[in-house]
Amino acid sequence: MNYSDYYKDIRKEKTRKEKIAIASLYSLLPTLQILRKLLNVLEEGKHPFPLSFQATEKTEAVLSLTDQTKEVISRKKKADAAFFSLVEQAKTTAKDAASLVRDKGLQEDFLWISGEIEEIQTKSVKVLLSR
Amino acid sequence: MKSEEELLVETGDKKSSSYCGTAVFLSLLPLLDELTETTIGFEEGFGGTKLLILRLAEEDGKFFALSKQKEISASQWDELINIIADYGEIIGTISEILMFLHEIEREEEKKELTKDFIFLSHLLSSDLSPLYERTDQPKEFFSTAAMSLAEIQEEIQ
Repeated sequence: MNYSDYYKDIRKEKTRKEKIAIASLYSLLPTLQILRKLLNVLEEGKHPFPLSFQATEKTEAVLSLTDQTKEVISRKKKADAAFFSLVEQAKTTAKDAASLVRDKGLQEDFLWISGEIEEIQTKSVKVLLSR
Repeated sequence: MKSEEELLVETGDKKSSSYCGTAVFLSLLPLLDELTETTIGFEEGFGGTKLLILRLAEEDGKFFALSKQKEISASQWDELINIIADYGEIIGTISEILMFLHEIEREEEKKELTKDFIFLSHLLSSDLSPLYERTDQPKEFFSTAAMSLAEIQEEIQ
């Protein structure tokens, strides 16, 4: 799956639902790229966010967060909340878009991207809780 | 201005300041392209949005990096104020697109865009908070920040 294939892929799909699914799928790539970078930085023992970076309480309320994410936030690691909100948002998008497609190749792409996102979430939560 | 692909590559670069905001801006582009492709009148109504998003995807990293600096020069404040104004503009534009999608009953896209809207609104509020805590802001900062935040309030109401 390559970002440059997006325009080719979206034009070959016939139904609007499929086009939405393709758009949602490709919209996850920048997020995945950022999440990978954040995990790398965390694994190096650094933290990219300034101390004054404030996560919003509303974000917690709006997004349905997993128990692990809630644990990180409840430990007052507010600086990481934007990162985890992005993870949750990416997961919901992948799930929603996957439900719109019947094409096997596309479904495989969704499984791959959802798997990558889940893995990054698990690893980064582990790093953050170990600090 | 950098292309979508250049910006995507840059987001993965550990030395770049691009983080969540850049990712969300770039994420908007496939959805806008889908809407342009499938919706009559979308290009005419919101054709300039893509350029604004590309500019913001590039500016967001700068916003983040400048807001972390201990000292911000006058020209850097000007740059920050322009970025905050762009944030206000995109939030206002997304509100208009959401209303348009509601009118034409495009609930799937509206749902996706609403998630990005909420994320960007909170990100702007969060990014502004360390700037409000400083004591060296020029007065233009307060008026521009207030106008950008007002765009969020209007949508919430």
